[in-house]
Amino acid sequence: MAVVITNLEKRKINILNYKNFIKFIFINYFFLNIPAYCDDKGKILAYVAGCYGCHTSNNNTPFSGRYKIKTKYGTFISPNITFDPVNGIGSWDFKSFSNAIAHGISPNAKPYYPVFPYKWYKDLSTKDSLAIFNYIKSLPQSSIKQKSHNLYFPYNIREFLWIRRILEEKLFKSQTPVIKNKVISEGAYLIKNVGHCGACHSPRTIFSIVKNINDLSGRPKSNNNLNDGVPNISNNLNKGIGSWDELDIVFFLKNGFKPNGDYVESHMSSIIENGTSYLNENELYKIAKYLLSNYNK
Amino acid sequence: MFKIFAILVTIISIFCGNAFSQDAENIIKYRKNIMKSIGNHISIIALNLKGKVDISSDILPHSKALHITLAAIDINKTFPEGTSNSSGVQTTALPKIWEEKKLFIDKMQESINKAKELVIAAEGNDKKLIAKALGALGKSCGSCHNEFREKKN
Repeated sequence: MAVVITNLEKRKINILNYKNFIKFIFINYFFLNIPAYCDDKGKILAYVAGCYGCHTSNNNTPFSGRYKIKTKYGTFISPNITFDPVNGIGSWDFKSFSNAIAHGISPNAKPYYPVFPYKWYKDLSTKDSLAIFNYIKSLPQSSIKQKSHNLYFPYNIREFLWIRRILEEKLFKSQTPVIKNKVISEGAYLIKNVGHCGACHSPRTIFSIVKNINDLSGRPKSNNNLNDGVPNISNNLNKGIGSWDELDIVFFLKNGFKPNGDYVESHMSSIIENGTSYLNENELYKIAKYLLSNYNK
Repeated sequence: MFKIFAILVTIISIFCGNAFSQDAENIIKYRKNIMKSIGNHISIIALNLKGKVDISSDILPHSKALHITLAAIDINKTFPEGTSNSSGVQTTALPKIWEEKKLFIDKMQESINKAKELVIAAEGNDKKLIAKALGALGKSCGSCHNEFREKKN
């Protein structure tokens, strides 16, 4: 990929130019068939999937946890996910890791709180989760100890999560549509299974269960949920981002600017900085295609 | 006599209150226009960087205009006391601007510095570096908005 881009650059093709950008995507897909991520795949995935963002409270000790997430249930404090054998996940093999991210179950069979977006990681490919596993394994270990979550009663009783899981399974099972278009399908994968955008942008119901994983119509601001107030990013022309085009979305996810020149708000700024900005234009274009497609009504 | 005095005081306070509210309304409108003009300059630069238009010669003048607009903001006059979102006039300016004024001034200065860096990048005419400088400016604007501006959604 790097070689291809360098060659393109040598030929002085500016990929930010619209026509050349389309040409670049076209050549990429139909002739070169370049896979979604090439260089530093594990690192890019770990950033876009939010591993860095949610497990880093201090940039000098990445992935060491202690990042605080305030919710109406109390404050969640993320764990150390470096491979320290005592305070991190050093004793885990890939099977334990894969089970944790795809099913939200710890190696000692305890359920994770849904603040950890395992629901979205469920369909993450084995290849991609292995790339993340290997990347995190390659990082320096940190001995920072895990802090307990500070949750209100009864949410501090972890066993209740089994009941929530049953409710979620029985009442709100989302049907994922089959997408035949390869670009849109890969965009959907990046949006849902890697970027887990729905963790914030999907409307929720009782016990914060997501009603429909494919619905990115946002959550209105309310007084009783600190995580509320998330914009509608469906393709709706008036309520969503239907008036944006692919280049607007690519530029936004790379630099944080909306088409009107306003900069992104609050948590999304760190998601761009520590996540989507790591993706190349090609991958961001796939995301844009999905967001503007009718699969994102 | 007391009744007349009380009526006079009430009338005066209504008029003064109304005048104050009008002043607040005007200054809020004024600074919203400043912010909009900053957004417009950014939008013009971004349209060129996205490749939607190819008038690259506009990037430098709009970067300069952005820097001048930001640097010209007189915080005491543009953000006078009593013009927060609790003043009764529709604004997203949080009271924290006046409660932590030094931090607000520092954040504003940081944005001015980033805008200056954008001008330097624009002089170099390298779109990648301009995009990087614009991103850094955006991050600085965002950091100020996150602290001092009411969340939109």
